[in-house]
Amino acid sequence: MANTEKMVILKQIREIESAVTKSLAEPDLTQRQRNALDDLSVVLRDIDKLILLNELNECIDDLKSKSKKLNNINGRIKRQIEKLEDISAKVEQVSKAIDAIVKAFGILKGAGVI
Amino acid sequence: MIFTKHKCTTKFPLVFILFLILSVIGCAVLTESQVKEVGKFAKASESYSGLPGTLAKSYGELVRNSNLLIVTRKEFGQISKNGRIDTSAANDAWDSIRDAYKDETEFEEAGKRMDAALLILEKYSDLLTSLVSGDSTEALSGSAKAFGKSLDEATDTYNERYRVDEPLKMIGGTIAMAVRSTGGLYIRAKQASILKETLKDADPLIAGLMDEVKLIALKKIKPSLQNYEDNYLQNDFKSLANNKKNLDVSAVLFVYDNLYKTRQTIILADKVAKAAETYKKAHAELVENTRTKMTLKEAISQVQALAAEVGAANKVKDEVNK
Repeated sequence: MANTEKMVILKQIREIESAVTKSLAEPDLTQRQRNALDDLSVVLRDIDKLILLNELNECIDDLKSKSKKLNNINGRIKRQIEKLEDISAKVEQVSKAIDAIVKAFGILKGAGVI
Repeated sequence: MIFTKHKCTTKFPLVFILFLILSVIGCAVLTESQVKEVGKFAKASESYSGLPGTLAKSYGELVRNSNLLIVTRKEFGQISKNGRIDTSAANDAWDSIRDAYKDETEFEEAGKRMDAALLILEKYSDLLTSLVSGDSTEALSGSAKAFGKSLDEATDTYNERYRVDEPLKMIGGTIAMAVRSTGGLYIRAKQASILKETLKDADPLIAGLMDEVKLIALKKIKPSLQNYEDNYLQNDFKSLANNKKNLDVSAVLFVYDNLYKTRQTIILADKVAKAAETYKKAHAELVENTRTKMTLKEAISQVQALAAEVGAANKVKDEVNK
């Protein structure tokens, strides 16, 4: 059943539910009539709930498919961030290596070796 | 000898070339105000993903309560003319209690699935935060400074011993700055390019997700809550009152609490939908404002609004969950 058809049925069910509410407010109903309306109200709620849950689950499936696509983008960014972290670590290593060379140069100069 | 007069004179073109390189890379990085806005968007949006699921969960709890209220309006243990006890009311009541559990768990499950689908937004905010964070460049800056310092120390030693009359310029700081700037700027430029691409690619998906959330909040849950108040809670209360003649204050309070929760959840539905619209607009504005390097004269209004709306919605969520 298409989503719009379900929406139409749900709207109709709610119109009947409102009609039951209106009828229950009538002062001249017998207890038997009240009970029958109460029972009808419970049956209508069950149908209402079934349609609503079905609709919600369809919407959630749509949400899931869209979030899956966003998840692919997230995965791509994550990999790119990891690459950047790698580059950062390498720059750090290189700068430390140069640092060591410069220190050694200072020591050797200080000792009069070069 | 490394630091000869000739080598020192080549420092000017070297610094000039470095300056040129840095200027070119520098054009590709985001300005501080742009980074700030991305950070603000990520922070404002991180607590949004749990809001829509609360709507379904709350509706399930209300339906559960309605099923339980139905039980209280029944008359039990009626004795027929032949002296037998009518057990049908008790059987129906037991079915209602079981239905209460089924309804609550089904809507709760729907809420959880919604939360799970929207959890991606939290991860997305985290990644945006990582992309604008200066962690890597700050680490580089620290090591570059240390490198600069040791180079200065080495130059000092050399000067003390050999060039007392003509000390070499302290070039360590300059080199440290160059290392720091080149490494840092390269990473920042790369971060900016990934960020721009990500925001652009994610924008239609964010818009689609937010439209779906709005549909759930305004077209599915909100009308159901209004129907609940008008046709379920009202009927259940009136039937109970008509059947029992006198009502215990706990029954009245139970009905009142449900009315309160219904109204709060309706408010939450409106806030969730409004924040979804703002989320969509804020993200679109972020795409627009990070397209080129520019100094944002003022904060992006939709990002500010998003922070306020998500905060307000979370307060209502707390009320609903009370």
